[in-house]
Amino acid sequence: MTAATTAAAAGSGAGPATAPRRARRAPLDPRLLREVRAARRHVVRNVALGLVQSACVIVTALVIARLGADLLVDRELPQNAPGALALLVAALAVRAGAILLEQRGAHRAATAAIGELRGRIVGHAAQLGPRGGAGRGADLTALATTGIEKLRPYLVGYVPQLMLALTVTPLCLLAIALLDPLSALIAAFTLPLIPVFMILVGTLTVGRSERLLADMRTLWSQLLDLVEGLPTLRSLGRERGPESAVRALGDRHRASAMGSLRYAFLSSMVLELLATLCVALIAVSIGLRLVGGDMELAPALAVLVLAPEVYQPLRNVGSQYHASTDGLAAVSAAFALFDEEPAADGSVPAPDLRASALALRGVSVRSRDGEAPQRAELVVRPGRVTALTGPSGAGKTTAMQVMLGLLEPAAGRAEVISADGVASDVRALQRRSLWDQVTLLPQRPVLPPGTLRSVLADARPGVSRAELEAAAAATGLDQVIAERGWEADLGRGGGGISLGERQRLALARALLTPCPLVVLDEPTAHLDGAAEQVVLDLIRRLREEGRTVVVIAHRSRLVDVADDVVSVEASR
Amino acid sequence: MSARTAVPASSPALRRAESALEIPRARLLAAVLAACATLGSAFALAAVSAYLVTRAWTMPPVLDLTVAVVAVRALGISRGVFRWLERMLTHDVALRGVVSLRTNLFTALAARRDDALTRLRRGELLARLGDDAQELGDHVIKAVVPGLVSVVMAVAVLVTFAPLSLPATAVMLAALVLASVLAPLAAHRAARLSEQAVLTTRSAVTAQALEILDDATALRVDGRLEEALADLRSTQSAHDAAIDRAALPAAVAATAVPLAILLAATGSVLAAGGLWLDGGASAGQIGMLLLLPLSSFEAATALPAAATQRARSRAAAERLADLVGTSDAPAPSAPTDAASAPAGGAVPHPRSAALRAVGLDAGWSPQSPRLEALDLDLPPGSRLAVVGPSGCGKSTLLATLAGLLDPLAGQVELDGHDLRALPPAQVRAAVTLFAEDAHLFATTVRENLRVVRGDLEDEEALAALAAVGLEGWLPTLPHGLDTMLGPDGTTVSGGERRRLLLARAVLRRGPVLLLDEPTEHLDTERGDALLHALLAPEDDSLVPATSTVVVVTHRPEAIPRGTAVLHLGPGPAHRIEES
Repeated sequence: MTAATTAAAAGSGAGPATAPRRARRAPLDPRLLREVRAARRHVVRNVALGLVQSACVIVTALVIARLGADLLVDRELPQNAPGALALLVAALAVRAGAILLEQRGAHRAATAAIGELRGRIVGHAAQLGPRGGAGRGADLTALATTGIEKLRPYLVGYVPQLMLALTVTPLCLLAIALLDPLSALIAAFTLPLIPVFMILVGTLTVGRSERLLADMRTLWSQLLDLVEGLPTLRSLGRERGPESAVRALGDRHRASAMGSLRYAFLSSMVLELLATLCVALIAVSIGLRLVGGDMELAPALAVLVLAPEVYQPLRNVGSQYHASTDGLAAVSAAFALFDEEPAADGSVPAPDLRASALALRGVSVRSRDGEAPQRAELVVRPGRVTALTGPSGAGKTTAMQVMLGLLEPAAGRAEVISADGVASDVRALQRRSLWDQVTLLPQRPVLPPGTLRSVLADARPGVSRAELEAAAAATGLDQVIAERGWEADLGRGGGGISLGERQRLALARALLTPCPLVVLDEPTAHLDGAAEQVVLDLIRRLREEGRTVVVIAHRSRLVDVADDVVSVEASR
Repeated sequence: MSARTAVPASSPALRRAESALEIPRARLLAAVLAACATLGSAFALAAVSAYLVTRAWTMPPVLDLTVAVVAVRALGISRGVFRWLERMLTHDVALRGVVSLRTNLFTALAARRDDALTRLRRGELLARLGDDAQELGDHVIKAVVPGLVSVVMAVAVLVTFAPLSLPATAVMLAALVLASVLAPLAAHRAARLSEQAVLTTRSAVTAQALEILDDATALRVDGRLEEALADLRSTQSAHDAAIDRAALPAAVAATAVPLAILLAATGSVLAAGGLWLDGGASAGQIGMLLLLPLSSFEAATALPAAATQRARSRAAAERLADLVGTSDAPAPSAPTDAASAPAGGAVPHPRSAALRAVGLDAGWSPQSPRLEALDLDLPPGSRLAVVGPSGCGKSTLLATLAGLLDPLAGQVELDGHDLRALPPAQVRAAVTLFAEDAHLFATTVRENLRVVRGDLEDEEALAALAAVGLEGWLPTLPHGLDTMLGPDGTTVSGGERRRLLLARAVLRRGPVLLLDEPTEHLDTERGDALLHALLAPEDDSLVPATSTVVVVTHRPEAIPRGTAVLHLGPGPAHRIEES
């Protein structure tokens, strides 16, 4: 990726994250090598291939120089030196083969590393609980989907070139030193200038280009604002006219981008300048010594071939710089996530929830702008229906998550109080033994894959057909079954049926499970009156069965069926 | 243009997108020339220094070498300078292209008569105008310019070799074909394969990863997290296998340049031998023959990447073609119709209008109409509530009545004329849809209200805000009406946002107002009061009595007695009765 595409795309899609990060990172992340086997093997293989390529480059230079010198000095035809010719062909062929292996292996390593890290990111984030997403939910999904894919250009484009810079550059320099120390001296003087000038240019431009990037992001967001508002403008009959604003904003965006690129491209200019200038200086120095008769032709030709090869890997590393920063940013974001320890599981088996109460004692959870909930106090008594109410953003769902030990509160604690009055902190409980007694129905129902029958029967092993039908009838699922049949495939996550139908299926599952505690998170959101009635009937039925129900409610009709109503509030 | 002709099946969508970029030819030429100068400097440096060294070995007077020495030094510097120039010029052309493309897309979208814009999801629109437009900018930088440059440089290489040795030139031609034609073909194949993998298996991976992240809590409580993660792993392996198929052609493409060097270098070495013994070339020329093949393929090195980019550009261009439709492509620099710009301009605002639906079938696709054979008569000043289960076509009906979506059958009439026959500006002046997800612009509160009427006075704005229950909100803002709102209203709460959108409807004072769920996200009491004010004909606190108001609502119990209620669905059925 060129500097320009990164800069010009700042804000498009990924937003500020695409802005070049200025944080200095080692070009190879040590943890990536330590923990991802594919990446480690990739680096080792590239070092080996780098050594092979160095040998090929040096042999090629020496053979061409020898053939040329023999021809010019001794009038010896190359055709008469089949050994040397074969060596030349072999060296060039082996180099091509090494590149083939390098690229093939690089793609495979990238595929393996991306797959492994994605699995770990998703698994770890899920283990971290809801807080793992809190405050950086968007970042996390972006990292798990597109962010980690940035590892491919890094592993395929950057790492092989870096390894070549670590092998070909010094070995070619060594070969030059053996052939002609003066040329090696010239190269040895100019080589360190490259990083020095790059850093110099970098520090000169950093403040300026960051200001320009910020400016560009503002312009870009104004442009997006207009584009996003186009449907609204159109329905108001005002869609004509803003296109001139689109062009004007685009032109300002371009001017800003070019202003930033003017400096960003300086570094590539310096790199090219030093690399070619050095080759030119070596050529002139050799030429002048040849005229004076101070040098043989063969080493002169060999040095002339080798000199550009010293700089080529460095130039490639420079042009892949952005692939490296994007890839490394993704890697370090992934490892920052892995560094977050999931909450430890408790060791005490949970008491029987049929006779236990759940309580929150002064629970506060940090939210984006304060605490939600703030100092929540509530008791859920067994066999009763408890409604959690409060304005949206008050932390109703969060309070429920703390209650179930899914989330650690910033202050206060969640307790499970058994029938004999012993209160235990939910953190001390074995979560599995607690959750096995809980059915949770989130706002968007989550269903296992399978058919209507298997998904429903899965809720209680050994359930009879009559019980299945009764549960279906109680939740209005029977209509869906009449329409689609018991064997209708739901696809993954219930994708094959509508949201309303999914909701009914999830409710029927909740009815079938033997779990003593049923938690319903806004079960009537986006439902019409008739479907709402089904939910109300279901809650009454669960209570008749002696189960405990926690319902997070927005609407008054849900609150009306509750035995206890608790209001949750956020800090203001 | 080897990169472009080498790749088969030139796509009409890509050609159209290229013309919508409106690339100025002179600027493109300048960028290509600068790029040729950059690569030419490197090639010339290799040629002159090879000449210099071998010529120097013949020990001519030093003066004979002066020109070569100066040239070598100059070329050493010029490459870096030209490189900077080339990148500036190329990016300038590309960014100009992106600006034109975006403007053309915006114009085309705004001018589309059908429902493309109405049915487009927000994220999709941003992806098209953001990422895909950018992809076509990259098309200029990574595909068009390198493609043109590689042709020029191939000719330059052949012209350099031709006077030295014809056999060497022939071998060089073969090597150039290998590097400039076969390699891009392999790279293009790899790009298409991995693109397919991205489209199919990667979207499955993404969807599953997102599902697990979204549903982690429920999955953990249900004890199904491990199962879901194993599922993700197997989908990921399927994706890996698909991606892996693309790796081989990509690697083969990377091998083409070294193989071309092998071919050219061997050929030149063999040709040089005979030439020198025959006295057909000077020492300097032999030096060039021996060493130049190693430096002749720099332009070709960029071609696999160019072919890859072209495959991506093509995919982006096809997505953009879907967006703007195939028939009404963005005419480059379509003249903007200034006269019909803001409402309140050329088209006079009528005070009342009669809206009628006759035998109306509405829906997004003819195969599944959301509602069928609907007759509605809405004389000036009438009130109608629309209720029905989710997904029964309430929003579809409003979009059709507003003329934003063409009917599948039947027609909508405004004062007796078919909407489709009327100029859009006249329809908009009479019928206004206030969508549930309407946009709040990242500008001041005042400008956000002014979007409905350009001539809005502050007093009216304040009165409208008070009417929708925002009188207590305004004093909490740091600059009152001049307070800037964040992008898409992110700095206001859901309820405030809804009321601001309602205030727009109030300010419109148009003849026909269509409101989609105007009281969603408001607390029940306030919401019901506002709904009553909208629907009760005697209450003109929000809308004038002469205006026709159609409101979609989820709360049938809040509809005032005596209001006509249209019950929709399930299915395309409907009935009208009084509440």
